Amino acid sequence: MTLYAVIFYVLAAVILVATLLAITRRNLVHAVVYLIISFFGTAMVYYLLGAPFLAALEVIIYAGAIMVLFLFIIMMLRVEKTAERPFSLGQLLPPVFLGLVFLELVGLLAFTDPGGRVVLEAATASPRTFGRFLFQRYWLAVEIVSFLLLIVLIGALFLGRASGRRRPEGTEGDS
Amino acid sequence: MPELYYLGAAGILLLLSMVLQPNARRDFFIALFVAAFGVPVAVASVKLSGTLFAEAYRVDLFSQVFKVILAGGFFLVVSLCTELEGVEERHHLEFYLLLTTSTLAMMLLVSSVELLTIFVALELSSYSLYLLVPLRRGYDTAVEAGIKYLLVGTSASAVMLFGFACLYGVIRTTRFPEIIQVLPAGIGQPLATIGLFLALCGFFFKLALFPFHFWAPGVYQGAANQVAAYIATTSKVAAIAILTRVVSLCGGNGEYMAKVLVALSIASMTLGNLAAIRQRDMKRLLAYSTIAHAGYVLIGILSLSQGGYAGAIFYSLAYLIMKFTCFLVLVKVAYDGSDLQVAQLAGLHRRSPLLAMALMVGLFGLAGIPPTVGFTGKLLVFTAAMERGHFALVLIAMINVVISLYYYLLVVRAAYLLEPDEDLPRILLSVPVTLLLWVLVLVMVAAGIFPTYLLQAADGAARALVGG
Amino acid sequence: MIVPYGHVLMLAGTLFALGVVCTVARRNLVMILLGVEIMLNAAGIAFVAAALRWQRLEGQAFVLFIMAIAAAEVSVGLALIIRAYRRTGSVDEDTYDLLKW
Repeated sequence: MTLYAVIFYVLAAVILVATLLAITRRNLVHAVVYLIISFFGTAMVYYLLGAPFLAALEVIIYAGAIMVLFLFIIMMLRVEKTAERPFSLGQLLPPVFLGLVFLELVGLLAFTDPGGRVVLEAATASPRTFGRFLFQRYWLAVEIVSFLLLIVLIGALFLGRASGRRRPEGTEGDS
Repeated sequence: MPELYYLGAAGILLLLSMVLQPNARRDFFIALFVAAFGVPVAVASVKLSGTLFAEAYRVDLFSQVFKVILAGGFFLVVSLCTELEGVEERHHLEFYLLLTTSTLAMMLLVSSVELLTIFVALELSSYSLYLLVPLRRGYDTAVEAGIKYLLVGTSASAVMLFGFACLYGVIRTTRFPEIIQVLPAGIGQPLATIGLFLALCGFFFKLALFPFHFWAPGVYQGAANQVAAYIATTSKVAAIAILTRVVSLCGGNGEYMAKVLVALSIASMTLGNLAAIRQRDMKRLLAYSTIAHAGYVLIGILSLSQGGYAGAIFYSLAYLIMKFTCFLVLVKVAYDGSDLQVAQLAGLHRRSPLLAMALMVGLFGLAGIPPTVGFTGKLLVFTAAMERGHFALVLIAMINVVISLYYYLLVVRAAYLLEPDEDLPRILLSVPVTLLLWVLVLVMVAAGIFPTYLLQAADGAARALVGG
Repeated sequence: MIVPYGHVLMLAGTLFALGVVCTVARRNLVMILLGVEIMLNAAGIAFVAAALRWQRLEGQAFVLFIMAIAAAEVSVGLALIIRAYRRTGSVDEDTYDLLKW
């Protein structure tokens, strides 16, 4: 058991426990904070598995921007405490059953598949290599994604504006 | 190339939407012009072939034929928007922009031969639609439909991504030409099969195939009529295209996967047809009909043969025309953009005999009655499946055709035999719309009797897919 | 020498299953969206593991795009939730039953 392996298992435990706690909280803010912890763990896993650039991005984008956005909206709408009982038995049973089936499948795959035994060698992708690779091979995808982000920006702007108000038609001149 | 044209068109629409005052008529004409011009551009580039972007993108007959179909679908849907009462006026240009973006993304999708590009193009088209659905004036159901669409869609995307990850873990690459060499041998590994199946789930969502079908009735009902028309026709065609491409990766060897697809097809057809019987809302009925047709198309795809793929391609074009005709009638009858109930069709044959006839031909085509093009499509798909020995499947499919006939006839009966409570006015149709209706009806019947030209196109496309 | 590929895949799979449970079993719209985020993150872990297995970079490129799409999805999703909340005053899923499944 190398040091890396120990680190990995510890991180895996942290991630799983944090996520489990996150999905069972009744208080939304608590759930988001647990999820942030889980994402930090994921970022460290990325670093361990040779993707330091992605680890930084995970912290910045996922934990930093997306979760903070969630917190903004939760606090803005004042829905910190949900009135639901998160886990009445009837609701819980089918998804958990499905989840267990899925886990069994993945476990089977991971342990019977000959590829599953391959031990990962430590390697690291420097940001420079990664960047060069990205723009050489996946230039089209980068362009499409930037277009998508533009469209989503416009769309979200539209959805967020004029919500809940019914205007008589023709009064507004701007678009 | 058509993608560049649509990209330019989207850019122009974007600039216009920021600058101009909203004016419904002028916006409509701009959009119509843009869409109409796109069709000859697409047709002119049918013969192009080659690969671009480090083999992430492939232009071959298969993709170009689908681009023509998509351009045609886009044009048809825009031509529905003459009044566009369902959307607030100042949102019109954004509406057209989002439609253009979605079409552009679908064209990129049918040409993508690399997993990442497929994912990104699929997301672009999906997000354009997620934004289009809530854009409806005065209906609370639209926002609810939008939320449900988004949540189901992104979940399906996440499942698809996990499938891609599994696949990538087994096969070293994400590019199709290399996958084709590796996958048929490696399909025996459990991780590969499960990965492939999970990956297909994303496309099942777009196609409204069981088990990712349950968004369709709600979204169709909640969205504006023209948006529902677009989702029902063009979006499904793109889903069929990419599904065919990905399934053909197996190279005819995926017996196990074919069995799974058979089960899904049966479930989809039966569920769609049975649920449609009880529907009173026209759009929900068409949504369940879409689910059933997803099952029929899948029969062609799961035959894993060139004939099957050709049948699926032909079926997608036929389906586009037939479904669109039904939606055209729907939009014209519900001219204020409201949800149409079946009972509101009463007396249609007197209000507008042309609309009633078009509806009848369209529905009969969907049911698969000869001599419409729907019958030819089903014939192609069924024979391809029987050649591969799926006799029970074809039998169940034929039973489903009979079931579907029941609810289609209910609609036709409402249009022809029921009398409305009060006297409703005649529906006047402008000249272009009348012309369009006649063309559609003629195409549906003529292509059913003389399908050779379309068949050649479908065959060539399928050959390009399998051979290349 | 880190860990067998299968172990990382197990982590990703378990995380994905947790995300599915969260999406399917919770009644609150925000929690459903969070469940989708968990699923996407799990797929990301699976990709990085696969990339390390084959010592190639495509997997990492995929993860970058997953993050971008996740950000886009959250913006649109939350914008829709805000709009729905302003119309109806609640983010509990049960209030949204105008459209039967």
